[in-house]
Amino acid sequence: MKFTLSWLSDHLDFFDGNDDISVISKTLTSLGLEVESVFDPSEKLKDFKVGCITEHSKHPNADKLSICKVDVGDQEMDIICGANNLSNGMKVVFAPVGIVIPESNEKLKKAKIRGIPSNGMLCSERELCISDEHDGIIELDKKAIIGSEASLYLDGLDPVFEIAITPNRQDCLGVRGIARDLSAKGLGKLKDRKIDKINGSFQSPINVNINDNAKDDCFVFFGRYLKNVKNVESPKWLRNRLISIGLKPISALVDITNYITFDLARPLHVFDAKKINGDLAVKNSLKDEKILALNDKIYNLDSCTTIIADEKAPVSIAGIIGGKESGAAIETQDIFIESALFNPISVAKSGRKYGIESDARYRFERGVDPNSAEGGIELATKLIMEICGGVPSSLVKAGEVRSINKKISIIPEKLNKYLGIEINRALAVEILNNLGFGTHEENSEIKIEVPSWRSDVFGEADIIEEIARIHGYDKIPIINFRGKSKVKNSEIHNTLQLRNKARKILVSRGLNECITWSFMSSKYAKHFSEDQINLLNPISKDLDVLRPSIVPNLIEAVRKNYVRGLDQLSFFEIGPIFHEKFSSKQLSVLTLARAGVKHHRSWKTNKSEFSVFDIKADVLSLLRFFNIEIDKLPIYQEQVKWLHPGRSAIIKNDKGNDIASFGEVHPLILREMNLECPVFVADIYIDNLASNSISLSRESFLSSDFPSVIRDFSFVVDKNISAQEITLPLKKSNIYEIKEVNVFDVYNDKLDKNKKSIAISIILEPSKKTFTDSEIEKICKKIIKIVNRSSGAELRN
Amino acid sequence: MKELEKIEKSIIEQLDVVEGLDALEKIRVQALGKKGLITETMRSLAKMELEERKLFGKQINLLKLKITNLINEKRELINGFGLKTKLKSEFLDLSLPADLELDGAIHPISQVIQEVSLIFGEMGFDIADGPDIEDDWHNFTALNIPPEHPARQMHDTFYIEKRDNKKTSDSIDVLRTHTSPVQVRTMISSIPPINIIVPGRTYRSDSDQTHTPMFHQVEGLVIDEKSHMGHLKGCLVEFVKRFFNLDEVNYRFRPSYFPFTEPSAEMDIGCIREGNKIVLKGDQDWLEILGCGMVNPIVLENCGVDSNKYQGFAFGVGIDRIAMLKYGMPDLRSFFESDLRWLRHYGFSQFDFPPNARKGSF
Repeated sequence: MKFTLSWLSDHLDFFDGNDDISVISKTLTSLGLEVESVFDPSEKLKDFKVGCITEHSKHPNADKLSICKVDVGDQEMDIICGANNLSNGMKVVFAPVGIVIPESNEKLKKAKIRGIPSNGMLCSERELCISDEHDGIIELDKKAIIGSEASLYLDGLDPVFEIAITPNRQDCLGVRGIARDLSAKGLGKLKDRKIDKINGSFQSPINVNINDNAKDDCFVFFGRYLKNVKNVESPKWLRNRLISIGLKPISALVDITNYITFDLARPLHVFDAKKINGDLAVKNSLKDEKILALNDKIYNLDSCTTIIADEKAPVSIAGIIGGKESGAAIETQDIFIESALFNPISVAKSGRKYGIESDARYRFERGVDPNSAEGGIELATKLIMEICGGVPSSLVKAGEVRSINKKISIIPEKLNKYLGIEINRALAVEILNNLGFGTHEENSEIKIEVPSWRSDVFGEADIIEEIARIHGYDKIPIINFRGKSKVKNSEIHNTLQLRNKARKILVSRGLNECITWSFMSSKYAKHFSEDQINLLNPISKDLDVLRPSIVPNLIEAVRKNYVRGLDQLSFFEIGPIFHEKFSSKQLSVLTLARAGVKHHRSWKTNKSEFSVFDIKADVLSLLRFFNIEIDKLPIYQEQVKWLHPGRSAIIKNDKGNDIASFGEVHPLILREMNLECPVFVADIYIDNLASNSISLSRESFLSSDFPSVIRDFSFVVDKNISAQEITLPLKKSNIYEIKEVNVFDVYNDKLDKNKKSIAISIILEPSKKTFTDSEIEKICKKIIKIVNRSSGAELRN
Repeated sequence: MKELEKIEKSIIEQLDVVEGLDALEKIRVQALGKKGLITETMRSLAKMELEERKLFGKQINLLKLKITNLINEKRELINGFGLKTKLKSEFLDLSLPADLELDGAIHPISQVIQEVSLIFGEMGFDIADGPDIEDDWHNFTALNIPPEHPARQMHDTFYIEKRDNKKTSDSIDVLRTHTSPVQVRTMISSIPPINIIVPGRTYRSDSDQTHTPMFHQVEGLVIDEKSHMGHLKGCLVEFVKRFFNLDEVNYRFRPSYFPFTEPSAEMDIGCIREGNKIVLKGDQDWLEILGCGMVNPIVLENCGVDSNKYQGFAFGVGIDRIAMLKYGMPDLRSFFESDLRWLRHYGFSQFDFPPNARKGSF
C-alpha cells in the first residue's frame, strides 16, 4: 500500500513536528503497519538550482529550439531549450552538467545541439518525476533566490510511503484507515470528513437487483445514474496522487474510482450507462458465458461465478474486474456508478479461479467496510460532479447493509494477565475510542462495540491486541521464562540423540552430511518404488513426487560433484522417505553413499577405490556404536530393488525386521542417471533400531590372565557356500574359548572349479588355566566338526 | 711391581687400538679372564709375605679396577659408535606426506537445530515432531486459517495428489507449510502445561534467490495458566542473545498478523549491512528474525484446550535464515545443493557438538 504525506494530511491534522518523515515511519512500523520504503523526491533534486533566464533567442538551425542565457548565481550559462513558455526574467529549475535526471535516470552530459553547445538543462515537472506535466518548463516563484536549491520552491514534492499491510487490516488499504491508526497513537487529530448525501433530481432508469442465487455472495448493491457528464483528463492534484502511488491516470471517471479505492478502501465501478441493456443484477453466471474484461482478456465463465449482468450479458465479475464494453470511456456521457458489498469468500474464489489480481479483489476478499458502500457512492458522485459535471439520479439499492455491530466485553484485569503490564481502564477506553470503537462501562466490564470497518476484530484477544498495539509492544516488560514441561516425549529425545550420534560416527569416518529435497523426479523414483506419492502442483517436473528413497538424491549429489572433477565422494543424509505403506506416510532413514577414490596414489601406496566392503564397514561400525552385536549378525544376500543383484544385502534384527541394507547401485540406474562410476549405498532404518541403542550401560568386565593361542585352518568348500556359513556357527557355538574368528584368505580351487578355499584364523583364550596341547587339539577337532556340519567344508590337506 | 706396570702398559696399548666388541672381549679375557694376566698375577700373591702381599694385593686390585673401567668405557664407545652408524642409516625424510584421513562434515542446518534445541532445552522446552504430509485441517483450519482465508494464499502450498477410492472424507493432504500443525497435534494429545519446540522440514511452492521449496523452521509452543507476552519477550530475547552469542542486542517487537496468534508480533534485530554482510549491532537497520504471539483462543478451543483457563505463546523461527546470519552463508540455495566444497567449507566437525550454549543473559 502506497500513499503520500499530503494525502495523509487530507485525513490527519498533525500535531506540531509530527509530520516528519522519520517520526511517521517509526510510528507506522510500531503500529504494525510496517514501512517497507519511503521515497522522498526532494532527495533526488538536491543538486538542481534556481536559475534566471536573462535572454533567449531562436536557435539558428532549429525552429522549435531556443538559446537561453541563464544566470545560475556564480556564472551565466548558455542552454538550449525546447520549451515554449520561455520569458526573460523567468525563474527556472537548472540542471547542471553531471547530475542525474530522475525521469531518464541518466547523467546529464555536455552536448552540442544542432551545432551549438548546451551547458545543462532547464527542467519540466515530468523530467523531475514530480508529475506528468511536460508542457513547458517549470516556472518558479519570482522571489526564488538564484543559485539556491530549486526544491525549496517546488510544489508537489510529496514523500511517498510504502507499507506492508497484513491480511487482517483491510481498513488500512485506504489512507483514512492509516490516518486513524496514527491519530490513535497520538500523531495528530483525525479530520472529520462527513460525506453529504446528494439528492437526485430524477429516478434512475437503470434499476439494480440481487438474484436469489447470489444472495449469499452480495449483501448490498447501490447504484446511481448521472446524465450529461463530460469525461475529461483529471485535474492535476488527482493525477499527481495516482502517479505518486504508481497508478496511471486514465480519465477523470476512472481516476476517481481508483482514488476512492485508495482513499477509503472502497472499490467502485463506473459503467457507461448507454451500453447497459435494461437493469443490472448480481447473479450466478451461466456456464460458458463470456466476458471481455478491462484487462483485455476474455474469460469463459463457469456456472457458479458471481457476476453483475445486464439483461443480455455479464458486465463485470463481481468485486474483481469490470467488462471492457460497458466501461466508461472518454466519450461517455451518461454513467451508472456501482457500489456494492460482496462476500469475501465468493470474491476470493472467483479471483483464484480466473487468476485475476485487482485492487478491488484485494480489498473485497479481505473484507470491505459494509458502511462504505453508501458513503463511497456519495463521495464518487460529489467528485464526478465537481470534475465532470452531470446531473445525478436518486440512489437505487438492492439488499441491505447487514448489521455487523459486533459487541465484545472485556475485564481490564485480563489485559494484565495477557500482556504482563498494568494498563488502567481509562487508558484502555481512550485507546479504543480513538480507534473508533464504542465503549461503555458496566460493573467491572468494558462493553465494546466494534466499528464497521474492523471486520478483523471478533473477540477479547483482538481487543487486547488493539490496546497493546497502540500502547506500544515496547512497553511490555521482558520477563525471564522457564518452562516445566509435562509432555512425555522421551522417545523423540532418543531419536534425536541417536541421529546426532550417527552424524558424529559418520563424520569421523569421512562422510559428509547433505540435506536434499524431500521431492524428486518421478522418472527416477520409479526405480525405487512401484508407486509414489505425487505432488499436484510440483515446482518443476524434476521434483514431482515425494522421494521413496534418499538413494537417488545422493546419487545425484555424487554425480554433480563427480562432473566437477571431485573424486572422493562420501555422503550421508538423515531424513524422511515417503510411501503410502508407512504410518503417517513417512519413515526416517539414514542413507549413505560412497563413490570414487578411497585413497589417492601416494609415495607409500597405490590408488584404491571404494568397494562395497567400505560401505559395509560403515554400516557395521554404526550398528556396533548402536549396541548391536555385529559379530553374530547374519548378512542376508537378498535383492534390493535398486541394487546390483549380486551385490545387495540386508541386515535384520532379532525380530526379523530390516535394520539396514547395503550394496552397489544397479548399473542400469546409474546409466540412466548419467553417472559413470559405481556408487555404493546403504540405508539404515534408524527407527527400527532398538531403544537401547544409545544406552551407555554395559556388562561387567571379565578377562582372562592366561595366554591365548592362535590356530589357522584352511577349509575346502563348495563355491556357493558363503563365508558366514563357516564363521557364524563358530561365533555362536558353545566353544566359549573362541574369542575371534577371522577370514584371512579366500581363493578358488585350481583343481576343482566348483570348490574354493577359505582360510580362517581363530583366537582361543582359556578362562581358568593355561591350555595344554591336548586341550587345544580337542577344541580344534570340535571346530572342524562344527564347520563341516554347517557348510560341508573339509580341512585342506 | 715392574711386572704390573708392564701388564698395564700392554693392556692399555691394546685397548688404544682395539676395534669392535669381539676384539675387546678378547682383551678382557686375556687380562681379567680365569686365565688372564691379572688373574694369574693375583694367584702369585699366595707365595708372598704378609706385608708384601698387602701392598701388592692392593696394587693389583687397583689395576684390576682401572682395566675394568677402561674396558667398560671402551665398550660403550664401540657400542655408541655402532648405534650411531645404524641410526644414521635409518634416516627418514619426514617432509614426505602422511596419510591424513579426512573427516567429513555435519551440515550447518543439523548443527543449528542442535544449538537451538540445546538453548530451548535449558529453558525447559521439550522437543516434539510431526509428519511432513499433513491434512489441511491440521495445517490450516485448526490454526484459524479457514479455506478462503487470504493467509492460505500467502502460504504457496504444495498439494498431494489424492488416491482413488481412498478416504471418502474431503480432507486435502498438503506438505506442511510451517511447523505449526505440530502445535495442534501436541495440544490435542496432551494436557497443559505444554512447553515444546518443533524443529523440522517445511515446504512452500516458491523458488527464487531467497526462497527454496523446502526449508526449515523451529516452532515453539507454551501453554499454561499464566504465561503472558512479557514471558514471550523474555524467552525470545534470551534465545536470540544466546544463539548469536551477544551480550547486548537491539531488538523490537513489531505488531504483525498470524491467524493463529493474537496479539501477534514479529521480532526484528538491529543490524548494519556492510555490502552483502549483515552485522548484528546498532539500530540503523532492522532484520526480521521470527514471528510470534499469544496463542489465539480460537486455536486453543479448536484443539480442545479451555481458553478460559489456559493461555500461552507460540513462535516460529526460520532455521536456515538464522544459520545464514550466524555463520555468514550468503545463499540459501547452496544449503541443498550438496556441493562437497561448500559442505566442507561451512560444515561442522563432530567435535563442534554440543555448541557453546550458556552465554548471554538478562
